[in-house]
Amino acid sequence: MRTTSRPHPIRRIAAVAAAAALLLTGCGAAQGQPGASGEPEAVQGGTLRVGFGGADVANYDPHQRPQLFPRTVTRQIADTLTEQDPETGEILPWLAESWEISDDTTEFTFHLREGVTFSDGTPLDAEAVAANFDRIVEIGPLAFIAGSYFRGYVGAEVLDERTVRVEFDAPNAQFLQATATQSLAILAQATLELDPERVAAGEVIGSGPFTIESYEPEQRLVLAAREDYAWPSPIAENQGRAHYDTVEISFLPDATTLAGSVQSGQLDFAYILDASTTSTIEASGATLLRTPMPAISIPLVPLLHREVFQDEDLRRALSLATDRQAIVDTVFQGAYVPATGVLTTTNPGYVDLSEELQHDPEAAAALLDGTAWSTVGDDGIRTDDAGEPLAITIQYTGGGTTETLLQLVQQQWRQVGIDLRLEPVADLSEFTIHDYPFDITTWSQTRADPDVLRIVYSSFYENQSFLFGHADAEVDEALGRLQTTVDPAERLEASETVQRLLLERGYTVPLYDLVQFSAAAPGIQGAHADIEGKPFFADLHG
Amino acid sequence: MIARALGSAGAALRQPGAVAAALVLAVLVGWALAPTAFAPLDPVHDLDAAAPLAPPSAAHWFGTDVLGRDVFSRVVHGARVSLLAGLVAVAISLTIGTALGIVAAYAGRWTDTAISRSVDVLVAIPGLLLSMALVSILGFGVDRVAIAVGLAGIPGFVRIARAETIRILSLPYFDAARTSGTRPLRILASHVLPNATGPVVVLAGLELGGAILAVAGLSFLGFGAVPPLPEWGSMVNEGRLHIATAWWLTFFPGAVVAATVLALNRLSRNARRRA
Repeated sequence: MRTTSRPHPIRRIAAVAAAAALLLTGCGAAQGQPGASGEPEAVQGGTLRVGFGGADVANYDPHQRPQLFPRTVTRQIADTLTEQDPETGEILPWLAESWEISDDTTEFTFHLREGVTFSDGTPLDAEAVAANFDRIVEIGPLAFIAGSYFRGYVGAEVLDERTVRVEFDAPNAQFLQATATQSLAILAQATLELDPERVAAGEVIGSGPFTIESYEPEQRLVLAAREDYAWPSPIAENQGRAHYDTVEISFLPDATTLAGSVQSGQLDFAYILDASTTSTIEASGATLLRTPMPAISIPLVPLLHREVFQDEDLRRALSLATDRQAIVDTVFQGAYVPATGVLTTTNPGYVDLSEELQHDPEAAAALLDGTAWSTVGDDGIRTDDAGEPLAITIQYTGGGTTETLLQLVQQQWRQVGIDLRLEPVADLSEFTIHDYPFDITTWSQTRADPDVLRIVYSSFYENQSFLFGHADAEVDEALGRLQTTVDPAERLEASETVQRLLLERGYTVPLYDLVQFSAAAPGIQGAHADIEGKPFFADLHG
Repeated sequence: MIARALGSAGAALRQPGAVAAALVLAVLVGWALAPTAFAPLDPVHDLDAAAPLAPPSAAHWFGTDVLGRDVFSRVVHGARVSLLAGLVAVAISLTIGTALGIVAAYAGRWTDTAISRSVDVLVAIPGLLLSMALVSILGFGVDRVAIAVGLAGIPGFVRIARAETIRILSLPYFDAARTSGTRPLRILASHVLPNATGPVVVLAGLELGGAILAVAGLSFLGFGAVPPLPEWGSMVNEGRLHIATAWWLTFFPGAVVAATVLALNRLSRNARRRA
């Protein structure tokens, strides 16, 4: 994890306290070693109280749900074939001791570790892995993210008890990293046979350090330590059973309540804190975990099916009119990072394209002067020949920081004559991307692989890809090249081509790189996170 | 601060409390009628990029918010939004409620039963909850919140108007009017309505404070003002995340809401005593 210290305009904390907090963060997060106070007792028992900063997503089938809460729970109850190094992005062996990939990246052969069992006692063998992959493809749209990793899936062949070969009908280089994501967590046969709805409701059996003991939707989720756990991730500190007996997860959508609870020790661990609350956390002696997310930079995406965005110059002008540094400095008080590409800095496909993301209102105005909206009205908003204002409408939910951000963008775009209209609503879920009756939207997708570009910005997936129905042959071609090689340099080159095209043609307006914050209460040791910022509950101890 | 001053002054001496309340209202009405005369800066477009989240100072009396907007200017401009929303809400409750109450009392029998029992059912549901249900049907926005609060306030007016009308109907001059052949509508307009207004107006004053609070409350919950429109309730909400580091974001809009509601209650209490 990178440690960045940046000047903070409003923080007024004693320098010593801040320095101490930073030091603690450094210990917990960067080195991944047990606390300085010495080796913890192997089993300390008791309950670890964890707060999740948001409403219950209420779907704990890892194959189905791509959100962070279920993925974090999955990390505790199930394991994956591979693990990803949080610092380098390198793929490390876990349930798979080793693997071979054919030169054309269509065949992946995994050699499994010996002696791994699910919590129901059944062995985690080649048969189980193949059944998991088949199930993901079978449940189709329910597993829309996991399913997208299986594009062109021919089948998984069991070569022997501990060897499985996965075959695709086209190059699929991203698949190796996909096996490190919780979307491809390996579950027991008994779970795979259940109706997906029951799995979503928490009937999940995996091979992880915890099992789900009880689950009351929207109230709490209780995990119990597994006594015989002995095959932790290569980046976990605790090589055996979890230190605590149980983990009790509650849901606290109110950001200030969550922050206050972990500072005061009412919670032992808070997962996903609002950026605005982090300055007080650092001052309280709690350990702040800061994970710059490997993802797409959070963008505003012009929706291509909307009349207003048929004009490429308008789409490009949006980016030029946006002052990313101001957004990060004011809305997020410096806690996040301005976007310097379509991908974030910790994504292995990151390329510095900050040249393309400069704030240049004059250039934006010049571009707009060449469009249909060349006249600037008395109110500063551009109009076309018919007198219609240049208005772009965005719908959003939840208020809070999103609302503040949109208000600032509204002011910035106004400088070049664009009227961004805000429309708060209670629920967005009734629309898909392609019948969305508004002009622009925001998006967030975490994945530590440049392949995330294919999911978000290709024309391949109806409900996830913004270019669906508006295919750009060059973009799709470059995304295809990303699949033909596992060579990092070649993939980086393809990633750069895609990102340049996306920016040149105004398909996206990246704003900022998300940083995820979690915190362990004062006195809780062993806090660290994986590449996506998900904590290891089995490593926490008092 | 203003609220506490009001409270303690009012307890010690009765009249100064009313004077202070009147002053508060006069200032608020001034803000609402001519916000630019009071507010130094534009509440939406003046971003002081150099000083976001600046504490209260001579330049920014109430400090600045996350985007560097002057909180004082936003509070001043918010007066128009909040007062207008309150007035619209009360106007809706008052007209519909009074009309229904008078009709119920005058028509009697099954009309009265139907109206009164419906009102009883509505009274069983907390007003704010009813407003929330209505606003989720009507959609977001201050105007819709005002309508929702107004509709939820109808039952109170129905009951008062009905009770007053029944009282008037038992008075001798009503019998005189009826036996002399005056048409029912004329009786209602010239005899019942003028005599029923006193208590209804007192209730309207009290309800105005409540309506402003309800509108601010719904905006706080995110149903109300669409940004960047300054509205007291949504300002409190915007400041909520920063309450540990920037108290002025929530304190000043909250204090102004409190002062407004207390001032209105104080004045309506005076009006009631006189009535």
